[in-house]
Amino acid sequence: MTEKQFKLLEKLCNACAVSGDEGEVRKIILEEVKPYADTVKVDALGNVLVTKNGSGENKVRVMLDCHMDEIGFMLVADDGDGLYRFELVGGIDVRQLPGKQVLVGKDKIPGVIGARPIHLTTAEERSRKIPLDQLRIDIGPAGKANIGDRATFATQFKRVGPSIMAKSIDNRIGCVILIDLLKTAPTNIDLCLSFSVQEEIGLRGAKVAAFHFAPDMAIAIDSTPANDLPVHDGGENTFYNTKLGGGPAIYTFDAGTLNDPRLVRFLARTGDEAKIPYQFRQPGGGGTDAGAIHRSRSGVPTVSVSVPHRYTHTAISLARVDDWKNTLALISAAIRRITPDLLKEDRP
Amino acid sequence: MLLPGLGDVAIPSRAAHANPHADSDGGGHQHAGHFHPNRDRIPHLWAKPHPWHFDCHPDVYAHRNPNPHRHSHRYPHNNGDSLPAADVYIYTLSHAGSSHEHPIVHAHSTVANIDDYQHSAKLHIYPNPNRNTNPNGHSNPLTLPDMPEITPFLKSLLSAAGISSYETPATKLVDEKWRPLVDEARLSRLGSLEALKKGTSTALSTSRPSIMIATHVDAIGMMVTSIAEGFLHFTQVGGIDPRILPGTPVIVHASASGEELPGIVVMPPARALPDSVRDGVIGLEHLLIDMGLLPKEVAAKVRIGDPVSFATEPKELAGDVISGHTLDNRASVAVLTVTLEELQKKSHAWDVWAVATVQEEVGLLGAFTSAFGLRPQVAIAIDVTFAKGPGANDWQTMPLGKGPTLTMGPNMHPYLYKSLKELAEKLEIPFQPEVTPRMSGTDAYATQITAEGIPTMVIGIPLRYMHTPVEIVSLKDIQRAGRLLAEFISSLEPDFVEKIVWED
Repeated sequence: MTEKQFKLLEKLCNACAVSGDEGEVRKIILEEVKPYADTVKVDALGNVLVTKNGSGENKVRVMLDCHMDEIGFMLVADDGDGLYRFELVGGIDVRQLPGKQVLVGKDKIPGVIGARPIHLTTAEERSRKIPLDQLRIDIGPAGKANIGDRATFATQFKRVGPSIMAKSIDNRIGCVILIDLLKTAPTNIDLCLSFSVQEEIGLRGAKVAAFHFAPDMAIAIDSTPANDLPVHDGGENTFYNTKLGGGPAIYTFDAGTLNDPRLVRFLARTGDEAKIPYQFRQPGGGGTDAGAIHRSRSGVPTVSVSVPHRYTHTAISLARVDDWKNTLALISAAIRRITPDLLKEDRP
Repeated sequence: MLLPGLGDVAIPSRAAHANPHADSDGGGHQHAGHFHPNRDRIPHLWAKPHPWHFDCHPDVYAHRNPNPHRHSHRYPHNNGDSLPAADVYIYTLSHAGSSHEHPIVHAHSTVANIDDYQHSAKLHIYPNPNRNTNPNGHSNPLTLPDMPEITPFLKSLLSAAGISSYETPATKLVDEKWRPLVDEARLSRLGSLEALKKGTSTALSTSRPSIMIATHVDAIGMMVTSIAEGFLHFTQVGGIDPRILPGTPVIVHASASGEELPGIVVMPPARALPDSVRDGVIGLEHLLIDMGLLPKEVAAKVRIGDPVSFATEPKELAGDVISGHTLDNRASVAVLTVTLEELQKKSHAWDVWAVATVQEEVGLLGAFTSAFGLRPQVAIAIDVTFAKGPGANDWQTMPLGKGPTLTMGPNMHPYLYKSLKELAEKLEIPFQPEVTPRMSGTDAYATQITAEGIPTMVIGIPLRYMHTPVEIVSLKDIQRAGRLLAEFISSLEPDFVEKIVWED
């Protein structure tokens, strides 16, 4: 990946865009896509909808989707003295909260989520999780924020050997891939790109974006956990979801979607022919915007592809640069091969 | 602050107690303020000649010399040839923060901040004609309030590693900062930085009384216990609640490659954990560190036993507070630095031993050993104490930013408490009385029972979220404590020690 691509991913990961408050990321994306798009529109929910038409006849209308939003917090009550109660936006494990730095509101006021000193806890207390109602965001005694302000982890993007460490790799890495796909758009298809809002609280942006585009097929580009850590008893980890470094993760089945088997087969074939590593995400829970897109209107053949990454929805996630590169390569190669015949193939 | 029960805080053995002369460190001397020749020869120490070749207080020197700028000194180690390489240190003296950068404030007291200034009576401030130009001839504007700017130094300290017994990155920074402010500095046998600022008492120097100020410089942290598939298992050094660890950035001090490498403390996914723990608190035995490297890279760089320190960056928050890891107890090292800077403008009869003690978090070891070696007449520990905040509101907690605490209890001598309290009241420096009914989890717990016993006191800096990577202290409290301590030291009469009696 080029320095420019790293810079863009860094900017996107460091930006704050909790579901429903995606403005900062939307602004970056609008700047990036405008020079390359045929049309750009921000819809009623805040989705960035971009088209780039191909040339010639019988073009397939392909929707590519990534979500812009991230998990985070909303301030819900002012306890005074710079202390705020907060609620979670998106799926966050409360065990990931104590001891973290956060940024609050549009002005990115620095704050922290602390914990009772260990000296003042009992062993019994330490055997229980610290519940959300005991945690506060502390922005300092003279700090002033507003109820309703969003907050996110304050982690700054970092490159480490073959990896990147950042917050919100889910799904800024999808955003940067989609931007690159637009910049190198092929002419055999009509591309419809949705940078969608509110994925983390129920795929809400993608639902209206798919209705708007009414595509022939869709690919949701997201990021999925790599749970490939050692098992406590030294046994084999058979529930890894995906493996870091294993290449783009092609979905077959998750909590929201049975991916169109023709498109699953097509992506795997593309990877084999173009010699791009890929892996199948283990069927299981979780989901992507595909869950909303594939049931849009009278139905849209849809598949999800994700960049594997560890520690999703925590202060610091970790992804491999190679997985990012290969995900971009796989989808780029795939969309160049799309013809109307693809959607005429028999279902297995 | 020590987590009680974690370290060995037993009383030193009776043998050492009864026969201090058996100790090769010269500890048998009643007045350790005198620099003992035996001690100079101990290779671990890096005693150096005093850069000012005057046997007088720097204030006197400054007034005698029209250009009080102290010249930069670089000391190659005098005894380098005879020492093992690991013991050779070369330091450049820094003049950052030396007194000539500040206009002199002649008053009953200096001011800690605007608030204190407004409450301070009988304040007269005028520039010293010898000090209002710098060596380049530029005029230094007279600025108020005149307290040393400590935040940049504190931030650099917070960014330095230095878990217990691996304190060198921190003691180096402290040495660079203190050396221009003191007469001598050296490392103790356990690695504590012991810095002497000589007093002016005109009595024979062998009998000059000394006060030791202990601020522990070590940090809580972690240590690698094993490596599995590129992930590090680790244990704690000092008291850490494992519930604050998942998602925490750390630095792995990789000894095989000599690199400082970033890592993240991570919680394995539920399915990699035993059924009994997957939804609850994940203990240290299950937490891992992911360095983002390939397993073969990790194996080549990291060794079992490598220290791991917190990497959360310090951050200033609204209301003159700072957040970061290891404010316990680098905040107090900053306090002592303020004290030493304040003392540049004051005379003091007593010798001052400023000690950045090591291994406090694992059992107050630096305080036990330095108090024994230096044998001061009075010892004061500065450490953090519990500030009120989320989950901490009972009698053990003090408001943040309302002044340092003065501690009462069995580990503190009542006369010292009374002296400091009365001084703070006289100077109108905000302070808060704190009670510690049993053990003080500070270096004071050690110094009090060192050798034949030392009258000891504790000054506390209220701190939120102790032993997490996002501790918070008030910068004002640091300045106030630093100033109070300087005033106290300066107020010590040569016979003060005789006044420390029991008012029964």
